[in-house]
Amino acid sequence: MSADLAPVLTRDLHVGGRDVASESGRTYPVADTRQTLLAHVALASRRDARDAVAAARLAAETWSATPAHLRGYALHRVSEALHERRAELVEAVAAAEGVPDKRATALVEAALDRWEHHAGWADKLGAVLGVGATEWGGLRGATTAEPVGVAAVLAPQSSSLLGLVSVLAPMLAAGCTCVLLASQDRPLPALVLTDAVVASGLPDGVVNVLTGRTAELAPWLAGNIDVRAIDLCGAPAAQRIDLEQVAAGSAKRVLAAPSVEPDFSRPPEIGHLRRLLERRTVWRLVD
Amino acid sequence: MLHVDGTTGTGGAAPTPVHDPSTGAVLAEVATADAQDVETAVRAARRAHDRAWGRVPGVQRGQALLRLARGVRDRAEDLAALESLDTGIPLRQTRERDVPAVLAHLVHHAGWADKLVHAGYGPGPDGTGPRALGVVAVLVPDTSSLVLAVRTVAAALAAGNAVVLVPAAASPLSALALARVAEEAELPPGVLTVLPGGPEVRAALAGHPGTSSVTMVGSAAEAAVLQRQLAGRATLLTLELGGPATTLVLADADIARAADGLAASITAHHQLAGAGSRVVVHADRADALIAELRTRLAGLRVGDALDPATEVGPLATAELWAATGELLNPGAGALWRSPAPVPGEGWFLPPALRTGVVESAPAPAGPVLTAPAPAGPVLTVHVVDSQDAAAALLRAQPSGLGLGVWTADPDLPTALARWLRRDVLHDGCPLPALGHGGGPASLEGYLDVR
Repeated sequence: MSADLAPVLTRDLHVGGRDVASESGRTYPVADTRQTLLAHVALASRRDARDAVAAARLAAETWSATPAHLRGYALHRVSEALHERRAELVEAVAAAEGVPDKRATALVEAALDRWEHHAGWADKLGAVLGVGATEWGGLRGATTAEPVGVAAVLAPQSSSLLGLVSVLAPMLAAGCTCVLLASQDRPLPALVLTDAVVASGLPDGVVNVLTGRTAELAPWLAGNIDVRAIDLCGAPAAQRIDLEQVAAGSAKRVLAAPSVEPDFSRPPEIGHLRRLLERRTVWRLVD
Repeated sequence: MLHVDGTTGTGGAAPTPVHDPSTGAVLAEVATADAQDVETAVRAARRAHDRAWGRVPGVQRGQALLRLARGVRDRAEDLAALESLDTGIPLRQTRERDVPAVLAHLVHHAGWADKLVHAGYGPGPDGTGPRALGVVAVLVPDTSSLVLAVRTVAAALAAGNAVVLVPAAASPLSALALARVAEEAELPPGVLTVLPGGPEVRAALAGHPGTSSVTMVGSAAEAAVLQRQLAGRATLLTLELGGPATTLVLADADIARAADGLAASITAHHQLAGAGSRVVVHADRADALIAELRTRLAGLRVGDALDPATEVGPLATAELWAATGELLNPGAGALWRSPAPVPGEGWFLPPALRTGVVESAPAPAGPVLTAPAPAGPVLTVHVVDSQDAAAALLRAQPSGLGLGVWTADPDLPTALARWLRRDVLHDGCPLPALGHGGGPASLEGYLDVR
């Protein structure tokens, strides 16, 4: 079959554990760096974004309350599902980023390592970021690190998989549920990742994936009161400050957009995880 | 069979028989190590640490440990059966608790391998976290389960050490199987060595100049011998001492739940040394606890460890069986034994309760728990008339592997842990063989943080 006769895929959004078309019925074409059409993907509307936040909120209670080591196991299972889709991921990254297969393979390997790294954090954050025993002034306290709830992330626009994993996996490890807005022009690796998430049996609503226009959906996500943290990584440069201001209106955690997309090959920083967790201390009077 | 330097081989010493406690029959002959094998093993481990394991980035060690965990998961059924066959722990338990616990230790520690810098011991010499020690020798009690060994092994490996494990003398088969899984998971040769043997092997390994650190779980008497042997050397010694674990049931405890926990501990690892076979209960609640325990113990099914219906398996060795059986002879206090049928062959005992044992009070130390340290399904119940009396009794006892405390008071377990200098499990019965542990504190013994 010649390339131009191959059927062109249409990919849905992923909301609350189900693949759904945009309620608007709209799609947009996605091409590789040589302008060859790869697929049509759903063009999410604000209503789709609202549904995704609602699904994430519904899932948050159970996911945040799941014992940390079981969350870790669930993320390790996603990691295995990603390994099974390695070839598909390489193909998607090569097409999306216009890099040779060898480079794409290296990027996929790095992304898989990054995912596993964060899976391992799930049952260690409490020990590393919590404080077991504080005692002073007649008080004894124990501080725990708790997930903030629903987190939204504007995926990096260029690094379609390694960048995506670097912002998504910490949210899941921290115990947040996510609304992910995929890279506008390079969304296909995110959709392969979505397949892996589904195949791994991660509970419905823990990862919700939107495709669409970042500039259109970002202000809405930033302003939504149920979104308790937002990573503005992939925000359009012109919107960066506006989005931070909008987010301030609902007092959420903001992981500010960098002026240029970070180099995701660098090792992850624990500060990133720290910003997705809240400290809670229970105090008791010492007799 | 030995597992040294990535290969399986015969040892230099005479093979020793390993028994199936459910029948008393010889299960296999296991090759044991001699001095030359110890030499080879330590040298291979040192090489593995210096050239590979201790040098590679933590992320690679973590991935190798995850491969090992996946290998264990893929062979979970076989490992559970082998462990039951060799230790006498019922299959239900090895399937549902032991093998999952082995997995949990491996996965948890795999995640630490690339996060050592966050474990709280400072940045280390090159900023990537504290360094490993080198070669860690792991010595476990003669009768113990794979989980107990893996808890230590997983932490030591994650930290970047090469490990030489002397497995439980009475049940070395599962550790040898684990070494094979490690080989298939492509852990570099020499990273995990399994060296079956007795006291001579343990002494040779601990005393070897290439051994950087020794972790020993066992009795205070064995520890003293080891400590004397290592006196004046740089070898780091990590000790986890104990006789049997004790469960303390206080006046404000939830008796039904405490009885559930104690009955569960009988069905779990009663057949291994160190299991929780001793109960100290407040006088106000003793009758209620004993009544609840009788109801539960009477319903437990005693039988072959490989039978999935079995709830109480055999004792691990003929010696333990004989020693614990002594407790069923007429003596001080009252004895109740379960009416459940007990198989004629194998090292079986019925669940039983011995109560009202009088505490002798040799001056000046005060009362001590003098009943022999049973390891079997025989629970010895000591009654005390106050919380202070219970604490005094426990303080006078040589340190134990663990203490379970049933109380509604949220502060008491912490206070007891401090005062008695031991780990405490709140509202639970200690199962040392399941290896409580994990977290950054468990890495301390395997990192160069001195």
